Amino acid sequence: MRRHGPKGLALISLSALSIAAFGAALAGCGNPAVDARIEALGEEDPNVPEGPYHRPGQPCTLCHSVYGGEGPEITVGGTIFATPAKEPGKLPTAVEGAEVKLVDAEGEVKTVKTNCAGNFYLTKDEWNPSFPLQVEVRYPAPNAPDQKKPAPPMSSRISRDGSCAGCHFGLPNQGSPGYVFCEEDPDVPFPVPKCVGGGEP
Amino acid sequence: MKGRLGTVLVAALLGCSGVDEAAVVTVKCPPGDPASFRPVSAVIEQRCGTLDCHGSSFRPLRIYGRLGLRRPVERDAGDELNFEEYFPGGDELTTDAELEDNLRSICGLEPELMTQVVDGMADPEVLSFIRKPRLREKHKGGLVWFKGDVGDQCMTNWLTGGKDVSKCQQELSHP
Repeated sequence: MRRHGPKGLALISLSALSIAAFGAALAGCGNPAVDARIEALGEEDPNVPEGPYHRPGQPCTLCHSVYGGEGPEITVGGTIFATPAKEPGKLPTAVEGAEVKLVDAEGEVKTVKTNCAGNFYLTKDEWNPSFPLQVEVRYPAPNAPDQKKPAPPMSSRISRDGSCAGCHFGLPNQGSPGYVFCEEDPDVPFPVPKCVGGGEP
Repeated sequence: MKGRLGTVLVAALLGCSGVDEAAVVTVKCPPGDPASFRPVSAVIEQRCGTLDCHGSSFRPLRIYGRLGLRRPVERDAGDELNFEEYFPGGDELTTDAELEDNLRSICGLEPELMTQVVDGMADPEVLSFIRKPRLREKHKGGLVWFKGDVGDQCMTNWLTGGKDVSKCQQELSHP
């Protein structure tokens, strides 16, 4: 059996370091597909603080998840807009006070309202549903806010993505139905909630 | 379409590889004519083909249809489509081309086993296509139906050559 001198010890230490570095690199391995989607979301709007009003129309659960690492962990979240987008890259008017009713696979019902950015969300502590989900949206009628009107129904279930914007984004195209909206006609006048572009109300 | 689809696919592949063309393997598919397959596909589109599951181009079993991902078509491709309604949830119904691609997806998953099932030499349960929604095999989408439920019967009837699509229609009537 060979004894290690000082050089041997240094080699052993180097090997141990290499193994540790390799282990750390492995532990740091992420999901490049998700990383790319998070990267594509871009920077925060400087006029909107991070919180319940930020990033309307973006997929909440990409970041607000165990993988994304941002708190709180969100199970279901999205943004309700007034009408379909009129042009690419531009967000439609948000709808405040819309009621989003969710029913999970076990029949549990949860209703949540949108804030002034049109955003709604449920944290994992509030609701950890069994997918698939059914969803209905009712919104304050533009000319009679005390009355709630049903938004066009969602024609399919939500199978497993808690972010509305995972599927609903931009203009309708072959891969997306477009943003979630309340009225088909883009000329229906909706009130513009005060916090849009201006941070918290 | 039908059983010749696999033959064509395999022959095309072999044609590129320079392998002996006499060694063509025929793969059989369940009935793909619209009358037989459209109700089956409608169930698959509704239960499996949402944009966040098999209506995603990243899934091995890719499903196209009116409720989910639409088959890519160029606006000026000359198809008789109402292009303004050709998006997920739009009014344009699942097209014949989408049906054909759905059939290819299903057959292409396990072609040898599918041939055995279509020939009556194996039980449909050998297929992942049947086992996954029953959760007899790991399935990220979870349990879709139990063995013997109407959706399950819709699939197994179709795979074994049954012409009765009433189970599919029952499944489609569920909320």
